[in-house]
Amino acid sequence: MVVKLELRNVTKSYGKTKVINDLSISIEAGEFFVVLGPSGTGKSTLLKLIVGIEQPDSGKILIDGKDVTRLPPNKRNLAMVFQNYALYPNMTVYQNIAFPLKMHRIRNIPEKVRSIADKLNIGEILSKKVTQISGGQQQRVALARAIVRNPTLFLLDEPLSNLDARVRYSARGELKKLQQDLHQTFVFVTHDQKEAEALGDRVGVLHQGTFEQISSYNDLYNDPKTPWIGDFVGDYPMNFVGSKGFRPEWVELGQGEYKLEIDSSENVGGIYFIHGKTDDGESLILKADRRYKIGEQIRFSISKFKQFEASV
Amino acid sequence: MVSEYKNPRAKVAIYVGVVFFTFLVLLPLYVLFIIAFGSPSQTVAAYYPALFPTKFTLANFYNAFAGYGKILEAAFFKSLETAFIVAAIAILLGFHAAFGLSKLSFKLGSIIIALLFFSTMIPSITIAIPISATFLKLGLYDSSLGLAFAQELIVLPLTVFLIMGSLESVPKQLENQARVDGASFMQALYTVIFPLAVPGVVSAFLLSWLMSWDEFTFAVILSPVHPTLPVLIYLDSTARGNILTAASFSLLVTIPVIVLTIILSKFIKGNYLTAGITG
Repeated sequence: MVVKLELRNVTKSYGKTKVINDLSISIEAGEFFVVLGPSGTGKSTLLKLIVGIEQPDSGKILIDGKDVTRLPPNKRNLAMVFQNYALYPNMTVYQNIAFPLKMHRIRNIPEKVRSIADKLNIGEILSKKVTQISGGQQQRVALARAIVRNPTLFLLDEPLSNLDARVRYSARGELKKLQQDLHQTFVFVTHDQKEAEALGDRVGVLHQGTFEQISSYNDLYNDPKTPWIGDFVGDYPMNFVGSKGFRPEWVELGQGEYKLEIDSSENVGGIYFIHGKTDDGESLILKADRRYKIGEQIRFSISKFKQFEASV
Repeated sequence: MVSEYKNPRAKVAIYVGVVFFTFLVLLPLYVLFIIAFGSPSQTVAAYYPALFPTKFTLANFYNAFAGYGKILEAAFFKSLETAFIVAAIAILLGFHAAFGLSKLSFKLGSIIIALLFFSTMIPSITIAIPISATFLKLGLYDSSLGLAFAQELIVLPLTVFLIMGSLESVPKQLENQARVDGASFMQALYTVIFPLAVPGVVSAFLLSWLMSWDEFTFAVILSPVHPTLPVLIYLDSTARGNILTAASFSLLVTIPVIVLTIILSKFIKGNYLTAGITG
C-alpha cells in the first residue's frame, strides 16, 4: 500500500492549551479515513494543520512522501470542504466551481465545470447565485469545487452536519460512492458515530490531542483499547463492573451472578434498553426483550466482556 | 423594540418617516434649483415666490460665471482632480492598511486605529504651515497632488476605519478556502476578499472624495495661487452678496456630489455578504 499522508509527532498549542499532542498517523492512498471525536478535541485543528492554514509547533507533515510542513495551502494541492461550505457569496455556482481551476491555470474550464456539475446533479443551477440555492445544493457545490481539479487528497470537516436529517442520509451514501468512484483518499472529520461507522475504512478516535485508537468501527465497538474508547464509542457507553467492560447486548438476563435494580426502560425500535444500578451502585444499561417495572430486580450474567488493566 | 417591526402599522409609520425626512433633505435642494434656473421675477424678485415657477432661464448662471471664464473652469477641475486623487489614495492605502489591521489582535488593532485618529486631533492650520514650507522645497506647493497628500491626513484614518468595518463582515473561512483552492495570498486578497469589501471601499471612496471636495483650510494655505473651487467661491462670490450668484455657485458645487453619489450608491449594499455562510 502507498502512504498518501503521514503526520510525524505533530504538536500544536494555542497559548497554554495543547490541542494536538505528539500525534502520528499514516493514511493510505484510496482510504476513507474518519477522524472521530467529541467536540473541542482538536479535530478541526488537525485538518487545518494538514491543509496548511495552521503551522504545527513541532513535527512533520508529509504528503505523497514529500515534506510539506512549511508549504502554504496553495502549494499542497489538497481540497477541503469546510463545515459551512465557505462558498464565495459574490460568485455564481459556476464561478465557485471554476475558481480552483482558474487559480491553477487549468485549461478547458467550461467543459470541466460542466462535467462535474452533471455528475453531482447541479448542472441546472450553474448560473444561480450560491446564496439562492438550498443547503443540500450548497454542499454539492462545495464538493464539486473540491473534486474539479483532481487534488491529491480530500479533507472534509463535518460536511454533512449542516444538512437536515433526510438529506444527510442520502448525502452520506453519495459521498461514499463518490470516494469509491474517484479512488481518492478522503480524510473526514465528524463527531457523528453513525457517519464514522457508515463511511470509514478506518476510524481514528481523537482524545486529548492524539489518536487513542485507530481501527475499523467494529473493532472500536467490540475491542476498545481503553475504557475511554469503550465509554465514547457506541449509542450507549460500555458498562463497567470492576475492570470488566461489556456492551448492553453482551449479557444474558434471568439468572447469573449479578443483580440489577431497574431505574427505567427505553424502547428503541422494538428493542428495549434497561437502565439500572447494581448492589455496588454502578450504573448499567442492558439490552432486553421487554419492558421492566421500575424498582424490579433482575439477575444477569455477562456472556462476553473486555478485560481492562485497571478499573474505572 | 424588535416586535414593532412585525406590526404593519409600524411599517407604515416607517415609510411616513422616510418620506418626511427625504422631503426635509430635498426641499432646500429644490429651492436651490428653482432659484438658480427660475426667472428672478418669479423667485428672488417676487413678493410671494412661486414654489413651482413657470419661467426658466440660464441667465443667472451666465451672469454669475461671466467674467470668470478660465479661472472658474480651472478651479472646478482642480477640485475635481484633487478629490479623485485623494479618494484613490485613500482606498488604495486604506484597504491594505485595514486588511493588515484586521489581522492583528483586536486590542493591538484598536490601539493603532486610535493612533491614526490622533493626527486628526491637531488643527489643520497648525500642520498646514510646516507642510507648505516643505512642499515649496519639494515643488508640490500649489499642486493638486500636494494638496491631496495633505488632505489625506484627515481622510485616511476614517477610510481605514470604514473599510475595517466592512472587512470584519467577510468570513475568515473564505480566505482560507481561497488559499486551499490554490490562490496565493495576493490572489485571495484581490479575488475573494476585495469584492466582498466593496461596499466599505466605495463608502470610503465617496466619503474621502466629499471631504476633499469642500476642504478649505489646507486648500487655502497650500494652493492659494491656483485655488480650488471652495476657495475661489469664498474669495469672489461671498463678498458680492448676490443670491442668484450664490445659488449658481452652490449648484456648481452640489451637482458633482449628487452625480457621484447616485453612480456609487448601487455598490453600497452589504447585506449579501454572509448569506453564503449561514448554516
